[in-house]
Amino acid sequence: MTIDKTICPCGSGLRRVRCCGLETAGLPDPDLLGPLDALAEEARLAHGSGKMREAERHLLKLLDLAPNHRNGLRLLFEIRRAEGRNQAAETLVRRLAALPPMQAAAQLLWAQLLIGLGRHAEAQGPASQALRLAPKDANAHHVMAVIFTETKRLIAGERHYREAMRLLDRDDGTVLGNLAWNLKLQGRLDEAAALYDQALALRTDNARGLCGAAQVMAARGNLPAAIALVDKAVAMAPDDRTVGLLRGLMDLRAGQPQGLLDRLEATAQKLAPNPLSPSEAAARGWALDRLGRHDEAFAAYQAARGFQRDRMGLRFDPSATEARLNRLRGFFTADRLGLLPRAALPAFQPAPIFILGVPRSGSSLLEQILTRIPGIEPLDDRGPLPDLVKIAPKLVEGMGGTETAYPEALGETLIGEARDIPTMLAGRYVAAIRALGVAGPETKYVTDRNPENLWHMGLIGLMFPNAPIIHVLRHPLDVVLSGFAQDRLYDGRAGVSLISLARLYDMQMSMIRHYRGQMTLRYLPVRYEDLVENPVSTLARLFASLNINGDPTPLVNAPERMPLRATSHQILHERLHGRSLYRHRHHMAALEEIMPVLQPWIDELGYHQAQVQAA
Amino acid sequence: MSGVVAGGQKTTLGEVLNEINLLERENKLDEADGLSERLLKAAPEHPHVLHVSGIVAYRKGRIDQAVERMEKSMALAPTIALYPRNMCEIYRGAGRLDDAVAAGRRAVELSPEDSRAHFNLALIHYERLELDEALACADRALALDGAFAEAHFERAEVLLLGGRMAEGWESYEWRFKLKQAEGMLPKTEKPQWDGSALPSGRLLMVADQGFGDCIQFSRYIDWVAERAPAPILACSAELVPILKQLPGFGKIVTRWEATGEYDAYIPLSGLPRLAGTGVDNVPNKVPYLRPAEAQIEAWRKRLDILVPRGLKRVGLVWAGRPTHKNDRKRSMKLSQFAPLMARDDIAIITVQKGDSIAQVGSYYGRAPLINLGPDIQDFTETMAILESIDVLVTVDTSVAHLAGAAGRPAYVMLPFAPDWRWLINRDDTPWYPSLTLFRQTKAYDWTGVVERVVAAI
Repeated sequence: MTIDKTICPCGSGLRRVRCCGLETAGLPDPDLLGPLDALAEEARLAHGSGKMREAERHLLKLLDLAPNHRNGLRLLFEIRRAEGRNQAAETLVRRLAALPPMQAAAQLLWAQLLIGLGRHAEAQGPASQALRLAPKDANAHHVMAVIFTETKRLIAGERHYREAMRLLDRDDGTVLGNLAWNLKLQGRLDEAAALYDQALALRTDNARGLCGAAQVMAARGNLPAAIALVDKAVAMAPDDRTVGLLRGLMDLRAGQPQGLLDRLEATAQKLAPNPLSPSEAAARGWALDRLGRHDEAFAAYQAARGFQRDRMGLRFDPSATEARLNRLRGFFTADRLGLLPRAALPAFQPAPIFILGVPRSGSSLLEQILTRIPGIEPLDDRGPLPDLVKIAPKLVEGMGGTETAYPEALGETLIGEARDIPTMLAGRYVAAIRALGVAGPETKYVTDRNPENLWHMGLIGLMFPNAPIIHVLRHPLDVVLSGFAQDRLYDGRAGVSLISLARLYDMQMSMIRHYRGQMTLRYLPVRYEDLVENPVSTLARLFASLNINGDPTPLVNAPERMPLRATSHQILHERLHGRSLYRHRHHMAALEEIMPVLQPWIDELGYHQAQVQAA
Repeated sequence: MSGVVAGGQKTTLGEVLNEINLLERENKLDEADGLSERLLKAAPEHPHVLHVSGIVAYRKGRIDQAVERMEKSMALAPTIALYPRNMCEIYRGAGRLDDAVAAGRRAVELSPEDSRAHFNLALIHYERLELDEALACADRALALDGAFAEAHFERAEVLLLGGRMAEGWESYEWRFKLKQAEGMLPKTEKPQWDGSALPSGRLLMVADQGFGDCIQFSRYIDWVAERAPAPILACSAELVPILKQLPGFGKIVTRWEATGEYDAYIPLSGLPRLAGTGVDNVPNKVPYLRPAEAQIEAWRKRLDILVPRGLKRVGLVWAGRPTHKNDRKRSMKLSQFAPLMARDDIAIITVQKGDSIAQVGSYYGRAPLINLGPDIQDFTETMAILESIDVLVTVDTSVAHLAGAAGRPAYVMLPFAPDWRWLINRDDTPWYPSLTLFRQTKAYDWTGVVERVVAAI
């Protein structure tokens, strides 16, 4: 007999046959593991006194003998997580969570690990399980609240934060701070500010909390107070680069790009020879652009994206987006759409105004302007369409249809009671808006600029055949350049290179073109350039399209009603300005590689002539 | 010449050429193309190979290549009449009418006894609106071959276009002998109706032509019903919703088996002849078609939502059915309406149907555009929409007839040599008082036409 000593590739340190290749049927009876507790205790003591290698040695021995030893798994998980060996940590915590009887604590560990890895949607599974096992556990509600908040289900997140606070029966600085963040995302800035005050009084050492409070201040227009708060955070956590970056961005917002540049230079010197993070490098580019040093700015953007490619190993993979495009294109054809039932809702309120736009085309600018009109409230990117896409096949199945995925499931709405499904979905949409608390009794419209809208124009047309769909157009080269000048990644990790963004743009615009060519839609294109250069006449045309009465002139300079979101780049939000127009002209040589993809769109959108005229 | 390898077997060049011709006639164009390309590689300077491969290239839509090959074949063998005869048609397809005339004349010169050469030349003269020459060529073709149905039909079109209706209708009767007319009439021993009185329900009327023709000739129902009450109408399903509103029909059927017994039949397109219609006595009591009020109201409400307020509503149809024999010269691209798109004061309401709708996806003009086509279920809906727009702009399609029959204002954009019904040298039509005609001033060239239409809006 030979012993398989292959070490598991997940990085746990265990043998593969005791880790990812484990045969669970051969596990020892948990009731017979008592004799091994002494070894577990030795590991715990070693871990507690900082002797990690010794603890690890004990644990590997223990888990080789008993791979289902709960405390052993827990401790080895802690060690691997602390080492940043995420794959191993995830493997161990999954196994821990699966041990019978299930325990809420293990489920929460798993959920928290996933949250730490930014995989909030996946974390919902174990977090839900934890809540089922321990419905009165404040921590379980807290974790669930974080998940809902980060996956933009803000009302649900708020409910769980409040439940966590009720169960705790005391004020907790972390929970309060997180609830404040949630309220800030909802645009409830005054409540958020008050909660931050409470949270920071309870936890005076909370630098990130100070940063959150600062962003609320900035959103309320009090930049000096915001800067003062971030300064405190910087003093408290001088090595926290996120805090430092926020301070620099406040400089930029205050019109001092050199301040941001100086701060980043200092960070870069400290880091050398390691480079700035993508966020920092992109911010450096913004400062340089603002100073008119466009070539250097572009180099900074390239550095940010190069970091993602070279150090983080991120690659653009368009296959899922291409498959999505082809699938939707294959289903939503004029012939089929002519047969599918439309929603038959009576006049309802609030009615959605859908705003389309590939990322960085200016849809948020349009939303900000539109929501200055009384009776129009911003839904921002929280529109419930993606949830309805998930619900639709289940409704079909529940109403006697066959089990098919979206969009094919919509084909079943031809049959029997399933004809009501578009109406049901439209009703659900309106209910979801109300639940978000966006709309008050006076609200006539909500603006929905969920980035997914462009993929779901077919569904929009079935649910709301007469809803306005405003498409914000911007010069394709500006769109791609602006997307490149961020650290954010889009579908299929587009963003790691210029060409990836160009290809994503091509796919997204192709989707919109397809729907427009196959459906009767209340489609209204608006050019970002017109919004910036001729806001009054552009808005007048939009008013006519939306059947809104009144003179748009006062709106252009009216105070904003739109809450600012909290991600770092949105701190930089400014009122209308012309700097962003045709900025690609500074970088034509660098953009050469994407011209074969974008030139047809430039021509189709008519930007070729505009450029010539403007040049 | 022998030794050519086709399909792995040695065979003669002539056999391969025959095979290509056969494939081309059977519309097996990919196979024909593959074989002709291989043959051309083997014999690149052979005039007949060049000629045949040119024809295949033309059928495949590679017009420039077709012209190049066939010109070369003519240069290599300048005395073969077949080459300029076919070249004439290829030039016509390429829009090179001067070259087409020259080739056509050369073909006639080389082979004066070839009726098809004269016929091809007639077609070219028609395209150039040289109606006297066209008629003379058609007559020469018929003198050589009195049973030449296409030449008779061409003669009819020339006469009708020129307003010589009585003579034109007689030649027009040859249309059922054309190859493409197969299946348009019932297989029956019953006679074609001569206009004499028949008992109620004993006449079968056949909606024999395209939708537009049927809408145009359905105006004769009153005239028919006076002589043969409650006639049966056989038509395609698409026409039922609209033609059923005309009083006078007995029953309407969409299958030959459902017609029941009848004593005689008459195609709708035969009615103008029977009724003795001339330019000055076209029955034009409009509207003779009208959608239901409820339908009009429903679309009015919808358009009030979809169309930005305060703008003139301009309906638009830019393309016809692609399988129509003249579609290439009558249909346009949406992008050719740039002057219309640039207007600030209008909204474009497209009532286009068919695959051309997809062009809307690429529209980013200044004027708002509402793509109604996908939501239009039948002709009655199109008519209902026309009630809520200010003017329709359309190429020569069935929608022009709908607007005319409903008495709605429409601007019809016509090719230089239009279909016979639009006559020549006038911007109105006796068939439809509400239509205004905008004609090309040069064959195949829409330049200026859109501008004139836009100026009229």
